[in-house]
Amino acid sequence: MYTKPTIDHFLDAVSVCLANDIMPDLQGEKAQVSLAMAQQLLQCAKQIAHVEQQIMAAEHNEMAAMFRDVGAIVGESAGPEADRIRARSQGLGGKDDIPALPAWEELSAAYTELSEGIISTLDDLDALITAGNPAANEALQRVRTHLGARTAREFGTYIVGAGMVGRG
Amino acid sequence: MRDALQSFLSREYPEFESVEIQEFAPIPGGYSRETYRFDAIFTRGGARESRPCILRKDPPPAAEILSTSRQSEHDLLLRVAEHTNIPVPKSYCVANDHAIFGQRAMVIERASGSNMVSHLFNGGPCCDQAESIATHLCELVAELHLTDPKKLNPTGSHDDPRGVGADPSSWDSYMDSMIRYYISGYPKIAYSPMPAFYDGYLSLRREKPRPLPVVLVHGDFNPANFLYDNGRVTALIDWENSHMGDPREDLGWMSVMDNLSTTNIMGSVTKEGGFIPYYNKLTGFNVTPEEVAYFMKFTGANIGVPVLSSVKRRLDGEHEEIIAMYIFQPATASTMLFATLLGYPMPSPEGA
Repeated sequence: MYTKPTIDHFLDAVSVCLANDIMPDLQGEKAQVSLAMAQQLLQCAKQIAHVEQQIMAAEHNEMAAMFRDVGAIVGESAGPEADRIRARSQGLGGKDDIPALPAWEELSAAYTELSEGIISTLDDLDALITAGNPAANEALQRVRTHLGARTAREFGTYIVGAGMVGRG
Repeated sequence: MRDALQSFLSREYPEFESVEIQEFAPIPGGYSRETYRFDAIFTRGGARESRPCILRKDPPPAAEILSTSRQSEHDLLLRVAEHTNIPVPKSYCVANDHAIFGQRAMVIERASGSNMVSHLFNGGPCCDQAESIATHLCELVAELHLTDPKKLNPTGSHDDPRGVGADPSSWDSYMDSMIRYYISGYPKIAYSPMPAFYDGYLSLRREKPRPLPVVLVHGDFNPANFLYDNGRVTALIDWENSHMGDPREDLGWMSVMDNLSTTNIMGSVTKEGGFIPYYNKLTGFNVTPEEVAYFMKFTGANIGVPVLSSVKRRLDGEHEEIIAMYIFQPATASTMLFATLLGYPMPSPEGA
């Protein structure tokens, strides 16, 4: 994966393009209003992008705790409603907590540190291979096995369509 | 822009009583320069002469992908027209003064022919012309590589046109200087860690092929940089990255861009058994598939370093051009090409 561009970068780029390249050429009032709406949606997506999964995981665990608390508060109350609440307390409240997901910045920094270690390793292996160390070739192959899988995932994740837009 | 163009051409062509600009419009798709089409109507003694033209203008420096001289490009186009049979657009004049158009610019002939290369392949409406056009392209690039470089580069303006430290005084010094530029330039492209590219650059140093004569290469010989009509190439265009280098660079880059553009120039020649065998017959260079693969990586770096640098400058907030964000896509696709050329083990599709 790439640490940059982030989802923020893509969304900002589209927003800037709409404002700088598209808006000046829009004649219709409806189109101008639609463009303003679209920019707000992009801003909304940007606000969600790096916190959505972390917030969802935290709120999952908060909800489970809440179900347990509600069941305890209702206690031995009688009636089918109370029965259902106690059942939820046991079922939904008994769900395992989802491990807390690291914040985007924390994850990106950790990922970058290891990736930069690969760059340094490639430098060292290059020197060893040039010096005729046969083990270095095997070690490079191990690095390349990781990079092959990684490159395939990047290709599958980032590439949209084929070719180069606007080039005939 | 239109008024500035009219004033500029009036000054450049004082022998005419007036110059009128008609049909002025931007051309989409130029990745490295802003391009505009127009008709220049020159009037003298009651006679009107219409010239179809293109204005090629540099982008702002922060957004620039390839930093080269429009004057050098102009001079080269004149020399290619003089010393070869390669069809190129006439170059009319150059605006080196930034004050005229905001950035340096040049006016060239709008050559005739179609640029819709996608029509030549994948069942397109002109696919019956693909073989003859690809064959003609092969002949043209061979002719370029066989032309005495002293005729095309008499002043040395194309020794190091991008100012990256290229030293074409010998094949070894050229290769070493360029590989040094790629490796040392890695920090300028790494908007995110890019180990596959870095691995590729290091491998270029370890796996240098045999030398060939240093010649003037087109430098951006790719499926988007020619026009065609009736089975023939009518113009080889976009000479801005021309430089003294290894002739296999043009073969490697066409192979890269065939791959990224889903075209098939290299696979469309049947004469002598294919594009490379036919090129070898014309040049005597005996280029091997392994050497083409090497120069796919080499030219991937040659164009890739400035392209990726442009993406990094965009991400660093130095400019806001959408093109630099968009070319992240083909740049990412070229990572897969590097991975393939380096022989990376790939997971099975279901494991990818």
